Amino acid sequence: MAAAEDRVDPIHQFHINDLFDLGTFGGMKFAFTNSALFMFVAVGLVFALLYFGSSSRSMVPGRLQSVAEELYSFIRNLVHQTLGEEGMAFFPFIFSLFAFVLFTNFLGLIPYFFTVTSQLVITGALAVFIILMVVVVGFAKNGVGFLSLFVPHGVPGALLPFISLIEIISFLARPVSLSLRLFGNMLAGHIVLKVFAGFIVGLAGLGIGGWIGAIGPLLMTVAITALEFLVAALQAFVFAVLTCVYLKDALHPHH
Amino acid sequence: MAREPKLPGSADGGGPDDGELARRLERLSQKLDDEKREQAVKDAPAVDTGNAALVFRFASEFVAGVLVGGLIGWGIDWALGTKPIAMIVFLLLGFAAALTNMVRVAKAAQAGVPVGQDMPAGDEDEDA
Repeated sequence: MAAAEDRVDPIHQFHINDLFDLGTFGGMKFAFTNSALFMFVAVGLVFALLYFGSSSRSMVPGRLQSVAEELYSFIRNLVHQTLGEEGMAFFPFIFSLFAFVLFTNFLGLIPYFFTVTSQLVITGALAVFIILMVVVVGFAKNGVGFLSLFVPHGVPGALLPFISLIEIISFLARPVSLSLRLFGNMLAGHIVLKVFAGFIVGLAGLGIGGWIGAIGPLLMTVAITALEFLVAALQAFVFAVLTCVYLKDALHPHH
Repeated sequence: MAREPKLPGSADGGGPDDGELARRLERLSQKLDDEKREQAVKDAPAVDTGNAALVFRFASEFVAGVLVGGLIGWGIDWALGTKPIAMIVFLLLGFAAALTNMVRVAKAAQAGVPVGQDMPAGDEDEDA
């Protein structure tokens, strides 16, 4: 990161810096951080893409419009396929979720930019919100019938309490695995990228032999950057798909 | 869409009769249905997630299950003062839950279901 330092610190990129203070509320210091800034940037970009993409409304879409339309129809098909017609009520939510995660992931790939989704707080908050929504929707739509999610049919009565307990733990593990996966992917990818890039700097300082040796890490860095682009898109997609799947359980617990 | 073949009814100047029209309509709707089905298959968000996504899936499923089980046990211990017992029991239960989830993911992966469409809770009893 810092050009002045000799050794590259791969963790430095995840530091949260206060940009300006917003004052104290209830004894807690509130500040506008770089993380918050990039969340705003991501939301602003999504908004700009959809606003300007849909403003021309031409029959033959231009570049921006077709990107916006592709994004829209991609998520629309996803929601429609997993949740069906009644699930379209959740389309705005899942679209926002996907767009937010996708844009923050991609923004993090730009050098010197902060990766919002590499913070467990962010992914955890998203996952907890999703699972709370699943619980609320499940009870609102099915009443007590939602609890049949934890009672697989065909289990002998003696084993039922045991199996139900396991099912409940497996349900509670969902938000944890959801948030851990996104967080882990982004964190690990960025650290690996930074470590390999650090090798280049370290080797280049050794003179002519080091320059030749630095070719290896340089190629790796390029390759990992490409991989990270794939991971960024893929994890946003997986996040959205799993949200759909969990919501499906809320709508139809007995399946 | 492919163009319709020339119809015998319309060739001799007079309009096609009702039966011919009905058949044409049927053929057309058949074709439309096929087209729609193909389109639906094409539109399916079929992302080749590859094995890397699956690996992460397993890892996070496993870690999450054990973690949640352990945390619940720890919480019960903390609340009831039964120091190590609940944590041990729930760690094992969490392990079981993690394995259940992993088996579900693996089953779905073997069946070729794309990542994410898998894991409806409590479905493995149907084919067991």
